[in-house]
Amino acid sequence: MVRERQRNGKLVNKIFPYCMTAPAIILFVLFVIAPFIYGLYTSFFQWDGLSEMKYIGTQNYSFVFQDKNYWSALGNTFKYALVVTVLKNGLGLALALLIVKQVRGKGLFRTSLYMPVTFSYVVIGVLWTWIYNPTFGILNSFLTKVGLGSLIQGWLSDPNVALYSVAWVDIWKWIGFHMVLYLAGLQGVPNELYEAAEIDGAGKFQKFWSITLPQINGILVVNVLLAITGAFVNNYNLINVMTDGGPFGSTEVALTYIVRTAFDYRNVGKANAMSMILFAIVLVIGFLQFRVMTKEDNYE
Amino acid sequence: MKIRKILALGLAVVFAVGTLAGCGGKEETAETGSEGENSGDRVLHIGGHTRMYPGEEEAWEAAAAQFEEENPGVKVEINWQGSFDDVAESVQAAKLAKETIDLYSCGARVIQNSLAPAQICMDMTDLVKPYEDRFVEGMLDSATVGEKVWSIPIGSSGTCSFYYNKTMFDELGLEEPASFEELAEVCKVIKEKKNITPILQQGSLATYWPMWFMETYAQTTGNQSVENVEAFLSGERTFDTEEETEAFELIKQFFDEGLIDSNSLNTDSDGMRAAFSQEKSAIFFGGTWEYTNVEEVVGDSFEIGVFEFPSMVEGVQAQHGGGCGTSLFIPTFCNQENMDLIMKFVELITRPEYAGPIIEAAGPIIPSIKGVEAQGSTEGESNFIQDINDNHAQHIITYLDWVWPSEINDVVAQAIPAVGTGNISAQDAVEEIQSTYERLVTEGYQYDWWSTWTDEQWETVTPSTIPESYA
Repeated sequence: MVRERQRNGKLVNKIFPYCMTAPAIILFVLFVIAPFIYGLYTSFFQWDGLSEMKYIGTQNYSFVFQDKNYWSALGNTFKYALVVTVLKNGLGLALALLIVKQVRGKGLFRTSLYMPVTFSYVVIGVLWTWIYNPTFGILNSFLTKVGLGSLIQGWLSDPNVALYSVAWVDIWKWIGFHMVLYLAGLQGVPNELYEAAEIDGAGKFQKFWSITLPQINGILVVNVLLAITGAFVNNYNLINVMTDGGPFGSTEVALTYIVRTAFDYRNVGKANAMSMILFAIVLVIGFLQFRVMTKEDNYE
Repeated sequence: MKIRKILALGLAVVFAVGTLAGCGGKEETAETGSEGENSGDRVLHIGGHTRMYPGEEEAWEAAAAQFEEENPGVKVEINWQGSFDDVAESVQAAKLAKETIDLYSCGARVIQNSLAPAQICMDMTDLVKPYEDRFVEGMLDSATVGEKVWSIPIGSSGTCSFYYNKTMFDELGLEEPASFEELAEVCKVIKEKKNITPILQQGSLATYWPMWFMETYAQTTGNQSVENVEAFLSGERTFDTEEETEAFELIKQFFDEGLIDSNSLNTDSDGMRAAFSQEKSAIFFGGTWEYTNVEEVVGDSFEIGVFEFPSMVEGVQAQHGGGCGTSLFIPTFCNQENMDLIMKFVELITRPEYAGPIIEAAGPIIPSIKGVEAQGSTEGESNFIQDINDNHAQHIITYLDWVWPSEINDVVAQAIPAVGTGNISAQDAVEEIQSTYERLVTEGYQYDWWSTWTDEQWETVTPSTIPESYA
């Protein structure tokens, strides 16, 4: 009897973790893995999403390789990702370095900088579209009033500027998030290391380069990875609201072009082939970045 | 501890089962529809995107109530879902979920460009014959592709015009311009006297630019734009000839002469209406569908007038893109046993007394059903709608974006401001359009999709019975 109870207890203990993780696994399989596999499957078909699918082998991939619009959109995605990753992290770290010190109104600064993180892309997209507006927007009137009228641009209408204008909104939204992560990392750096460095005669830059950066490397890796993947796969809403890929395709990124191909051009098979290529690129970049930034010597 | 674990396990199972149940499809056979819901009754299912105008939903419900009264034992179920732009996805979802929809109301363009080629729409050619004379002349043409009628227009035909601040024009002693030179002169006076942007376009929304091309191309082709586009899409001519290049050059003149400036490139629909209503611009080029919104924001501030796109090529009549925007089609996944009910409803909805309130909700300019009055036709109301009906409507041709595929439309939409601002040349623009077409062909695009359909495909879209006329 006792043995049976013990056996039952062991069984419950064994299956308990599986049962607890089952809902999450089911959701993940249903809404991530299954669509991904179905997307991969349909990328081998000519399909408008409405009529019967027609198997065409790897032709969709061949069409994607010949589609200069996709590669141009991918080029814009890389530009966007580079700017966004560098500035989100650079500015996020700089703000964290300022705020980590005992300054007045630290809480207010931290809250104000974090607040945009809680806004939706649609809201901030509309908000900044109006800020950038040449007729009503406050940016150009502010520049005029402070005597910087020469800096006035067609923020969203000039193809040379539009991508960076949109990227700035993304940076503005997420900078507080990155700052908070860096702040947590900076607060974890032991003070003794700085004291020892000071005794050795290290300057501010040397302390930052040789102590701070290696010590927050783990946070840095996470931040850069989040910024890069976010810039590649999370920029659709903002661009859709602010420019819809214009002017003249200058803000067309891979995601907007994929959605356009699937739902406007009704070429679901080709859109899925584009998604698979984008997935592979993001995977490789993420892997390389992770390998490079987590080299053992970085922690020493 | 054990109780907690069991409770947690129970919750996990409930959650997992609930999730799976939520992912289930709606099993409903085409034969039975959802008759079980109303034992003994027949059900007519009507679907469509969410209605966009106040009073429109009520008008449909009134028509449904009348239908139920005229057909005892029949229940009409109406389901408006999704947005105007997401119709293809909504229809696709309904089809995948095996939902029965007998009639679907949506934009005409998606029917022509996506749903009909995908065998989602029934061929209504024979079905609609008894009711043909209920439509305003030419309206069924915009629902016809490959000599087959795929839907019936229940709405108002749109077209494009220049809207202007008539009060300001009167104050400045300006007349409606008929030629480009006259328009340029009008804009010059407005700039000098009022120091405002003469013409503002909702240029940040690329989709509105092709309307300009439809105007200039109609003129550079000697009113053969639709025919030329059809020939281009059939591979019988290229799109990089002098006619296409000149059409872009003519639009560029608006930029070069300062009639349109870079402000337009950053302006959306709300911005354009706001600027017009606040008299920060005097003119805008827009569709007739703008009227209701513009009238609302302008109120009694000033009088609105309209004039046609100016003549830019000597001796050629200006023509404007147009067509009835809203249509009703029979999905191929309808309950074919309901065909008699479907056509009885079509008969009812094409009566002016029932079509009228539906169409009138949208502020009709050129109604598709005979006997439905255009907005503004009542004495004492603005007379410019009458002006559109009497003059502009005579020069309407099919919107080119209903003819060419979305890919071409996007290239045209992006190219116009690019040419206008000098970022690319007109020659670059037409070459880009031509190369896009060539790419589409290699990817399997075919303009005359109906010409290669198999018997099996035609069978899918052909109604199993043609009910008697209920007219």
